[in-house]
Amino acid sequence: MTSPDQQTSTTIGIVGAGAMGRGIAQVTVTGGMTALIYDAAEGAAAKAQEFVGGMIDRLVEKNRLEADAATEAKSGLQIVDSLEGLADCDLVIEAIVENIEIKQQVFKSLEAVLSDDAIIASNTSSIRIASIASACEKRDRIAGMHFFNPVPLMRLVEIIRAPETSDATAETLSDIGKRMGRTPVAAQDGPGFLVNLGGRAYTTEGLRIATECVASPAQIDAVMRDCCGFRMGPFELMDLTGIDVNFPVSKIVFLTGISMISASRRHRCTRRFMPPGVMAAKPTPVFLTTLKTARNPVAAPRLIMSRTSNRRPASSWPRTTRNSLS
Amino acid sequence: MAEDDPELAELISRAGAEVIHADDEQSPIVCAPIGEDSTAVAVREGLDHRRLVAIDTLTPSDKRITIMTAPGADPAARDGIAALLSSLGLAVTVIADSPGFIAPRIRAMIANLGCEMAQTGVASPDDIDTAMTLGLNYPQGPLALTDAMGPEIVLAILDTLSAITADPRYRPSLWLRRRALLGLSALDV
Repeated sequence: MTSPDQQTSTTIGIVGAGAMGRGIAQVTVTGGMTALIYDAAEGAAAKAQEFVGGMIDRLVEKNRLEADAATEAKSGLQIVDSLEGLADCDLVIEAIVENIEIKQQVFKSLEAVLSDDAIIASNTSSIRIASIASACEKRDRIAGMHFFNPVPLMRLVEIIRAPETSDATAETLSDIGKRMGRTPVAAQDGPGFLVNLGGRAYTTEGLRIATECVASPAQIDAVMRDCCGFRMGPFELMDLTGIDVNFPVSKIVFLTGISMISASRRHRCTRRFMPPGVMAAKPTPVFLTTLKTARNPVAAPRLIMSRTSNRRPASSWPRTTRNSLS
Repeated sequence: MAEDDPELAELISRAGAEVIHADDEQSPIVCAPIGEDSTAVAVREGLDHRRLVAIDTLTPSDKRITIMTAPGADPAARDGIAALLSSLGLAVTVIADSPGFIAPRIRAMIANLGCEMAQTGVASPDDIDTAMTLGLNYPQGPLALTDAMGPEIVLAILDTLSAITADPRYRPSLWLRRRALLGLSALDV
């Protein structure tokens, strides 16, 4: 397809009118492009159109969007009642259930109706793009375009290249992402892509520390908030995400074979929070070794400081005052 | 030995404690290990583990500080140091013995995974940091975090964690090791 920089109008089809599809539709039309929404469930696309229109009106109320721009954006928000209705799209973004067989079927159906130079992208967060593309004939135009929830507020979009994705496809998606007001980053087509892989260390190490009964989840959260600038501790984050979501993603990401997250699949801590058949809504701080600060403190007016550096790295310390051997 | 560890010395001095330089066999002993737990420090240095209290000075904060002791430690020593640090207006988190406390350990793991992602070509160093800050609201990306902590410090924490736990989970990424050894930034390609 023609680069959007040289194109006056770009039409993007969105398959799936759930939270992600609605968000993608909103940033599409506020980015000056046309969005065609399709959902297999009757009435879902119309509800999404109404919802996104309402969100755009709220942007005007909050002075975040001019009234004229809102009118134009809403005029670009359309619905179709079949995949065939997406035939003229330059790009179709699939945002449906995380099921590879269903996604492959949708991609095959899209291939049959779209022009040869149209791009087909998946918003999947966990399924490899190459796996989805394997059901298609023309794989160079297939890629991942992974948005984050809530889409209008989360500026990041991952552009995922499968082995057969062309440079032109990746570049066009990156350009469209920018027109949507997002910040695109290029990621390899592997389990967890970029963010869902990189985010594993925070939660899995928190779990490991709790599992060792070093500290309670509440203590770990407090330290990471107060000392490290995180808005939420790892357990608060897992609460927000949902253990039922976090644990399966950890298992998927485990497939990368990266040793740093190797223990995530078998954390007794996570399993305890999520016993078979039960998705814990809230992890409870069951791993307690809570030693509270003394209420009747013992004065320590004299003390001895010990040298504490066990070793020096081969190169010099960047902070030579951190510790030293005496 | 206060002059050997200025950050720990400054902290203790601010709390108004007197630092003595010879073991009187009764005063609490404080240390600020890098990646080690209290047990390892006590054994390596031949210190009385019952009086040894480890303080996390790798994670400076005006809100909270973490201390830990080895098994069998005297609660009076631990509580005395906690009280001392509380007098500075810090909330004190007292934990069980842990190589790398809480924050240095988690931060080192975030940094190490970011380095491994760069090493294995998951994305460019810049894109890794951009994604982690925008996608997860991290205060900084893992490679910027590595630089902020110091690649050599992160490597030392991980090497020590690896040695103590014998768990491959803590194996330092080659990306990190090479840059730490060469004195480079973790963002250097």
